[in-house]
Amino acid sequence: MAKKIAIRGEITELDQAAMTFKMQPIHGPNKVSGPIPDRYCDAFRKAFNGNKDRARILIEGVTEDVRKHIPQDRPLALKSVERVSILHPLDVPARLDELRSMQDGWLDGDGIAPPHSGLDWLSEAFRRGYPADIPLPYTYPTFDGGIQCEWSIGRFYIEIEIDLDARKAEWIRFKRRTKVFEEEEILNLDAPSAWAWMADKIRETLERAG
Amino acid sequence: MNPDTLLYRMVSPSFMKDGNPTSQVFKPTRKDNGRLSVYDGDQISPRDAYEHYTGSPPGLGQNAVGVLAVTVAECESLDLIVSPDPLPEFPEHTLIDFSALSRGMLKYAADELRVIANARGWQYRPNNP
Repeated sequence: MAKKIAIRGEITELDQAAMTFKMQPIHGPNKVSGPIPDRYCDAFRKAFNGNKDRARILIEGVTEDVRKHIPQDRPLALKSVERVSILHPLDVPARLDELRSMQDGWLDGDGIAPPHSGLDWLSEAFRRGYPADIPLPYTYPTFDGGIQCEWSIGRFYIEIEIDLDARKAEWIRFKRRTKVFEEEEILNLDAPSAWAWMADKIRETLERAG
Repeated sequence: MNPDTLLYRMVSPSFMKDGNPTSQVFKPTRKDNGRLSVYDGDQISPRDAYEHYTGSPPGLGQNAVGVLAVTVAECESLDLIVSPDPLPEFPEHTLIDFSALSRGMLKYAADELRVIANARGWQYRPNNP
């Protein structure tokens, strides 16, 4: 039985003669190995060379290995690679993968780790709802087990604080050094209209910031 | 304490991203009850404050990558109240009180303090945090 998977990580080995690769996922114990399709040869090479700068890559492919637990010294083998993308350094799903290794007590003994189910949901919601033509935010965990995304656009500061259980976000935008914040909204991130509203506001901010 | 007194804030490694402090450094969490703990710079040097924060008892044994600072006047310009809150074996303990602010203004103030503190630069950073 084959299954489709999407994994983000760094290319650690590239065999250009055999046209195979090994990747270390951002989260998870097992490396991933697989064949390099001709059409993605350049992308793999670029990701591998770019690893000095920690360039990350998204690989979507098919595996026939459906074991729940693979021995740690064995890679998860992909039968085929269907799609490859070099990731932006601020890629949000990749950053969310980083946060999967957090434990409760991460902040001086306090602080709740974000739940994996919530990270799965947000990763997919972000992939679906956030347009590629607007800047990516910096993404952080919050003390209460949520996620904060922030954008600095000129003198404007935008922040959303996401409650992963409620799937809602608190949006604020203000212009620095004015002592006035412009908006405070609660967004239901399960609704596509909330993502569209957010994208419009970010585009509008880009225009205002010049 | 006077308007120019520096208030030292410890920066948790969790609040660093790509080598820069995030706005969370100056944002009170739920456990802070709207009040942020800092060290009164008239009473202690940034290095000694760092040693106290990260050291074993009577130190606090917490993690920090360095020390940032804002002044009393900078806090007050954002409608934040600064007051001494000396504790046993921690006489320099001071609070920046955000509790009178709305949630939006709290975030505004936290970001402003981060920008001001970053512009002032690190007051102390150990060689191997």
